Amino acid sequence: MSDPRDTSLSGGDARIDAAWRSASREEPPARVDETILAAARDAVRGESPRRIDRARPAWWQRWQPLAAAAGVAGLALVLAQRLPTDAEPDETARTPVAESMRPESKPGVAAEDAPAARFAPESASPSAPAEPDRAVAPAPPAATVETANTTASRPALVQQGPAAKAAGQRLDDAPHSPAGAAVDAAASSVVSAPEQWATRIHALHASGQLERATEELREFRRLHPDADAYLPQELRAWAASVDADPSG
Amino acid sequence: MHATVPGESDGDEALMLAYGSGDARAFEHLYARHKGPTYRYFLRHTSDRGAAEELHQDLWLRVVRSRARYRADARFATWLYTLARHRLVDHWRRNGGDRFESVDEHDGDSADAGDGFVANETLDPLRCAMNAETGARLLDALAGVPAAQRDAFLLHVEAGLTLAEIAGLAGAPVETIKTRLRYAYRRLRAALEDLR
Repeated sequence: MSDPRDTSLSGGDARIDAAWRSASREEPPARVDETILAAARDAVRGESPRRIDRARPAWWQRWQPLAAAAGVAGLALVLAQRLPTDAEPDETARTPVAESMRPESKPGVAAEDAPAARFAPESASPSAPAEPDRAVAPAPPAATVETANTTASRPALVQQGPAAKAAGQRLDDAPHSPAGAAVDAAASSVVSAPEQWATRIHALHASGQLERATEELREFRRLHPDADAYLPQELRAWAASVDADPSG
Repeated sequence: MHATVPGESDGDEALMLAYGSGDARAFEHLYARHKGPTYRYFLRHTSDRGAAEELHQDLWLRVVRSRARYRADARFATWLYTLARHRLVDHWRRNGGDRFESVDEHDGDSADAGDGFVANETLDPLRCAMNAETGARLLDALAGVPAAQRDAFLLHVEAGLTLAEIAGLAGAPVETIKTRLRYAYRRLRAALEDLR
């Protein structure tokens, strides 16, 4: 049944085989040969086989991601340590009054939250008289940010906190004497820092407006526990006589 | 002394063992001997030069990595084409493509195929048809042959394996391999019929 030539592969069809071998002569490209032979040589030299098509990165390339991550972490640590600590929100300074005094502040503008921005005396700028109510409100003292000669803009204070309204009222009540003018001038400047607040109290006291000076001192003390330390020496005795709380 | 250094005249097994012992020159001889057949084995199965190059390279890198584990229990060629076949199956599994599925039962009349396997004296034109057209026809014809038959043909013609070796490698009875070869030869002859 079976042909004896079936048992010998050479008997399959010698002429087909010959024709095939004549037609099928492709060889792998030289670069493939080189890759394989180089890998074979590397292997017996104790190195791991290498591949050209999928070249292994150098040792420094393999460590690159880790080094980059370490660098970023280090940089973040240094930056965290060097950030100013007063960048933290000053909750005592951010009273509702202060918030209400910034009607045009844009949410998300970080610069406005910074202390420097909060206490920047914008009224000192030439544009301040034209837009008095746009003076940047310092935290609590900003309640007094109202120029004496900007009564036209006073309705804007309706939207401001009670402290600001009180301050505006107090300024309105002030007599227009030379001393009062000095007080107004002092008040017209944005009293932001405790030093300036102390200066204004000093001016009120010197002009004889003791009641207002007392009110200011109480407000100053309420918001600055160490307010007395900012007062000039000649006011210390008077300040010592002022109760912290008139009701108490 | 030359006897201690394997050379081109040594058998594949001796060369592979020598390479496993650290002789890189032995590998060069071995590779030069088998690189064409293994490359063409992949090329005929994939009909894609890029894929054939990648598979060929992977195969020989596996040989390199396996040098210490090689045992001369069988012919080197059998071991080599076992690796090649596994690599090809992996390639098809990943990329889709042919399969070594059995087609022996539904590929025409086996009696006819058996007749075709016998050398056919009517194909005399083949004797003088060693030209480009003949080659192209053969290559085209083999590309249309089912993978299992094509594999048997390539292992026979390109790799020079015996029926028993092909059977052992394919995990099929020798008779099945014979049948596959018959079918393959019949198709190739049919491709050259009109050259008579």
